[in-house]
Amino acid sequence: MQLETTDSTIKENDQVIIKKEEHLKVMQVRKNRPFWMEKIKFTLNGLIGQPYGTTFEVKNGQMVRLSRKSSEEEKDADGTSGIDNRNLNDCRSNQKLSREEIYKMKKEGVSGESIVETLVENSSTFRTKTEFAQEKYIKKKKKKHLNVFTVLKPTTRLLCEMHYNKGPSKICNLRVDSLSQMLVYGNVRAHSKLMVVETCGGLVLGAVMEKMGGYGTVVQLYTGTAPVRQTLEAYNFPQHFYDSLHAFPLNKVNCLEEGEIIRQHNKNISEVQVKTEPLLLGNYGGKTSEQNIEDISDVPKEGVSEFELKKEETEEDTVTENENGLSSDRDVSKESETQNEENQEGKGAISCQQIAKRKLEEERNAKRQLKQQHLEKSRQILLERNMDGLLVACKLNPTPIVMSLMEYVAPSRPIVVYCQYQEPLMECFVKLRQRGGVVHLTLTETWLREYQVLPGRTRPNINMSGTGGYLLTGTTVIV
Amino acid sequence: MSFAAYKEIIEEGDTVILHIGHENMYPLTVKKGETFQTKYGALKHEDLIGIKFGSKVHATKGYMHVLHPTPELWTVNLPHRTQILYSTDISMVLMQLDLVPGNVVVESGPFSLTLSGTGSGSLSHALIRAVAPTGHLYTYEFHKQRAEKAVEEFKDHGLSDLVTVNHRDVCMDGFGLDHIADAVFLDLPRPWEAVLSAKQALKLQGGRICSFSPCIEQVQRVCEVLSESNFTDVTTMECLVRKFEVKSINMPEPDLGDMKDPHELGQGEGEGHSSDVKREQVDDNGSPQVKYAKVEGSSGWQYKHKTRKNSEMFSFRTALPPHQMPGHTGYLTFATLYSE
Repeated sequence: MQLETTDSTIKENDQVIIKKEEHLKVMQVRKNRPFWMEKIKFTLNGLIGQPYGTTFEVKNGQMVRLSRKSSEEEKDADGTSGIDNRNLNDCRSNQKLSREEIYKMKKEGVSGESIVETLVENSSTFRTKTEFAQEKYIKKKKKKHLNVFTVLKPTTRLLCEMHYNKGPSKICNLRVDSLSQMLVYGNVRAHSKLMVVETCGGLVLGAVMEKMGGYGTVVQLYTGTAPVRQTLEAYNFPQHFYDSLHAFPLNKVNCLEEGEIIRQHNKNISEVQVKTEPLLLGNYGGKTSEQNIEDISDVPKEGVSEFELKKEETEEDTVTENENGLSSDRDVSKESETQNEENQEGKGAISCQQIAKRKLEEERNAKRQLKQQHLEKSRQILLERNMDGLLVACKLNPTPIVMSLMEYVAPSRPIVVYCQYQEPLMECFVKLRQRGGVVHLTLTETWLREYQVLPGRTRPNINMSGTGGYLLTGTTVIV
Repeated sequence: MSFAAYKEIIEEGDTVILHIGHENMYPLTVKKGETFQTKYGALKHEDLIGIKFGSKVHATKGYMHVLHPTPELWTVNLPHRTQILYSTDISMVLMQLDLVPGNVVVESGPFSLTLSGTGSGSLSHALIRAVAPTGHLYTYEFHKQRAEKAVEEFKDHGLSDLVTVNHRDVCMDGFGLDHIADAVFLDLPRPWEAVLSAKQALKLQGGRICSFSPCIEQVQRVCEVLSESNFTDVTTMECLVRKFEVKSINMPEPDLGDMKDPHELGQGEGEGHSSDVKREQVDDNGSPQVKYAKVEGSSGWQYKHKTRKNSEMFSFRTALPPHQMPGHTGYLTFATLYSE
């Protein structure tokens, strides 16, 4: 349990966040594996054994640890500066150093720091710039030429920031303040028993699991054939966190009580899907707007989902194997070992291929059965109808999801629905009012503004995010 | 006992939230023999014992719901003093401090801000929730009675094991903690005075800090001191919530008078056809009505005077923001201390 707090050194195979200025990137620490960031190629070998939060400079493709400078030292000692920009003209000849010369310096392995110094020396206008402009100039040049990175432990805060800055459409434009409110209004804490519906690549699920710290139960209700959870990897959750995670397909929700259909699940996925999907939609008349949204989003649906699914499948497999303490797999391998021996004694190497084939089939069967058991387990959890809350953040129309899944939430528990659009939540609000059984229904939006704080120059940032999405919250009651 | 974990059935001594109507809720500690007066009449505490959270209960003149307390319901229902931290700010604080179960967190502030005079602090409850069941909250209060009251309330709420209340002036005497905290929260009039002590409280491997201040001058100074003390990634933000009311609105269509109808006026159909502008309108039954907006004729525009029996309505559903809302709560400044 103390893992999060005591584990402060970087280990091989850890997922880490590499930060350069505002750029964040999740990477796995693998020996000798080169990676690219901001046009620089390097390996992460130097990270292993170092504490999180360390700052590195890339020199000759290797990471070299930097000592943290106090802000005092960073101030420029050279005092000459101008009063305003009346004599400054935007002109290329202001910088005497040519592009080729800079490139040559870089190739020779000159440090970023000294490149910036040389640039300042060779700037004919630097001394006439105002103090503020000088500072800005240095900052700009440093950003360009200094290959300094900070290595951070992935947290929900950083992962949300990273995704929001990189491609907010992939996380339904879920801004950090909205996500934080989902967790707070959902009363997410250790020992909760929650339902999560999300299409944010696992960010919301990961956030929920992080805040639960491995205690309690989460059931992820997913669309498609397997849950999408790629962001989960970045959290470095210990194995026991996954023991509390369950999954159940959304397209089986309407027939949750009929065990038969679940049993068919693996035999004929496609057939069941065809049967149940219209059932789910039929209740609320319209079609889901998934198609429309897919059209808008920049990623081609087919390619991505296929990729995700494949990835997911392998992931899930490793998870399930570990989940059962490898017991079933060991049995299988033992069995096949004895078989191997028998075969070697008796028939020799008649049919290695056959054995391999059989082994593969057995493994597949075992996996299928495991999946079946997990599905049944999730179903049983839901059927207790005492979930501690429902969190929804997805690109599907939330109303049918909320109306169906509300049945499984205990009384006096929170329901939190996030949507990047306001109208679906208005609809949900009205439907919940009509249905009853929910009090304290609240539709909100938050406004988030960051500030530049500098002596004598404090003001809001020039740009701010226009929307962080909308939130509908309420508390279930006995009707 | 009902704050620490969810429970199903209400027992004596539990804190419950009475939901009487929209935006009308009261916190209540259940005691046998007592009654609670509401606008729907008197409610006997005894009636609550043994029923489920979320149940409907009847008072003498109406019914209401009895809810399980959460830090958020608690925050909403505190009698609002001059300043308290709202759930929006609290959410941001919890997220930005990277709090997870098992963490040690330090909170300092005059409880008049983070803890209302009658109830426990909304932030304290949220912080405890975030670090429970294996973490701990150290909270500081320089007012003796308030500190004592806080101890009592955490006990009532079943949270004593997760929190230590210190009666101490943090700005004068510091936190007295040595490198045990993952995060520190400051809600002080002069937060910069507590920064060094906060640094001392944070673990050697580093941690996060937050300072909540209503005024920009405070932010300015605390940011300077944070940078001087080797805190990095200093960011200041403001977070406001807009609450919407979902409403169906009927907007009367304007009566611009009826246009001259060429058929009624007996004008030939072929006449002036080229310049006819058709406007389609959909009436309540969904059938389109075709109106002639402009007709080229000898007299140009003509008006027909006819009183409308049922004025047409443009109906829509909207989410109305409030006419007045909190425009400022405080600035949140966050920073990171990395291991040195």
